[in-house]
Amino acid sequence: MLLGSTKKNRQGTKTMKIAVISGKGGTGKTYFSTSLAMSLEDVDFFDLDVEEPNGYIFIKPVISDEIQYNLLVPEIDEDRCTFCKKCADACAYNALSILPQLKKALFFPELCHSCGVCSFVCPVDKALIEVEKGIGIIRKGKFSKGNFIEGKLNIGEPSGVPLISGIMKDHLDPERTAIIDSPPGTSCPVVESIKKADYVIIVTEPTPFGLSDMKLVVEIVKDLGKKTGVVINKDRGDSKITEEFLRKSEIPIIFRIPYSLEIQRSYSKGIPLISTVPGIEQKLKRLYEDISNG
Amino acid sequence: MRAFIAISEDNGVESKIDSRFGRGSYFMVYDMENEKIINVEANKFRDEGHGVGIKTAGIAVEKGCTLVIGAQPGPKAEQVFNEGNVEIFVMTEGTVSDAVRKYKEK
Repeated sequence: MLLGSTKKNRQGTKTMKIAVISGKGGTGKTYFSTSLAMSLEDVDFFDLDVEEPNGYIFIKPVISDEIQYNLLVPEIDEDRCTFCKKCADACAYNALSILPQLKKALFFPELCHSCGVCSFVCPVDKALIEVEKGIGIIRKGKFSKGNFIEGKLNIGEPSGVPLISGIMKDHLDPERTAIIDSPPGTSCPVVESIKKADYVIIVTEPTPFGLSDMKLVVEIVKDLGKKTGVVINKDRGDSKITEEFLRKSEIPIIFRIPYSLEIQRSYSKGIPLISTVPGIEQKLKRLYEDISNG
Repeated sequence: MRAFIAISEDNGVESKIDSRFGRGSYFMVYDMENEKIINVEANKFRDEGHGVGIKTAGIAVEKGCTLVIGAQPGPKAEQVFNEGNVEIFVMTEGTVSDAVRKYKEK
C-alpha cells in the first residue's frame, strides 16, 4: 500500500500502518512503539516480535481472546501409502523421506512450509492427509487507546513468518491506524512484518553495533520501497557516526530519546516513555501527524 | 555388506572422503566383502537449500546400504539411518581405501 492510498478514520485523520524495526536488538523498538501507540487515538497495536513479545508490559492490555494459530502439515497413513515417493519428490523443502524397502514414511516438521503440494500430488486416497498443527497463540485485547494484538510463537518452532503473516492477514484492519512492533534482526520475520506498512520507523542506538545493524535494515526498507525515518534512542548528543550515515543516505532523523538514568529506572519498572518524560505525548502525536502528511 | 561413502572426487578407491555428508560431491556404493566399487554417482542434491542430508540418506537406504562411512551425518539424516538400521562409521579425512581398512580393523 502506498502513502497515497491511506484512509481516514472517524476523526478525519489519516490512518497509517507504521512498523517499528531496529536491526540490532535492544535499541528500544518496543519502548518507542508502545508509547507511540499510547499517544494516539483509535489505534491497533500489533506485537509481532513473536519469539519474545513484551509490548504488553508497557501497554498493559486487558486480554479477551487467545486463539491458537494452526498450520496444515501432512500425516501419512503407512497402511494406505504405496511408497511411490511422489510427495517426497515434489516437496521443495525435503521435509518428507519415503523409504519403500522399509515401508516407512518419515516427516520432518521443521522443514515443512505447509504448502500442501504433498497432499496435492498424492495419488492414493487418504494415504496422505493434511492435519492442523499449532505453532503459536494470538492474544487479543484492549487498551485505553484501542486494540492490542500479539503473536506468541511456540518454543521450538523454526520460523515466526507464518504466524506473522497470519496475523497481518486476519487482524490488520485497513480502516484503522496500526502501530506494528516488529521482530529484531534483518531476516524473513522482519520483512513479513513490514510488508503492509506505509511507513517504517527504524529505532537505533548511537553505537557502532547499532549503526552496523541499522545499515542492514536500511537496505531492506529501500528494497521494499518503504518510506522511512530514524529514531535515535539513548541519544547523548554524540551520535555523529549515526547522523553522518543517515545524512549520506538521505534518511531523516524523526525523533530522539535522550540518554537518561531517569528513563532507564522507569523503563526497568515497565513504565512507558509517555508516562516518564513530560510533554513527550504531544511530540509523538505531532510525529504521527507529520508522518501521515508525508 | 554395502557401504555408502560420500566422497569429494571420483578417483576410485583413492577418492578422498568429503568433509560433509549430505553435500558430498559424489556418492560411492562399495562392496565391503569383495572390496569392489559397485557404483559412483554425482550428488545432484548438493546445492539444494534444505534437507539435503535427508535426501542423501534416503538414497543410501534405497541402494540397500547398511553402512555409511564418512563425515557425521546431520540429525535428520541420522534419523533416516536409524529407521533403516544403517550403521554410521564416522571418518572425516583420508581415502576410501583408508576408510575400508579402518572399518575392518575396528
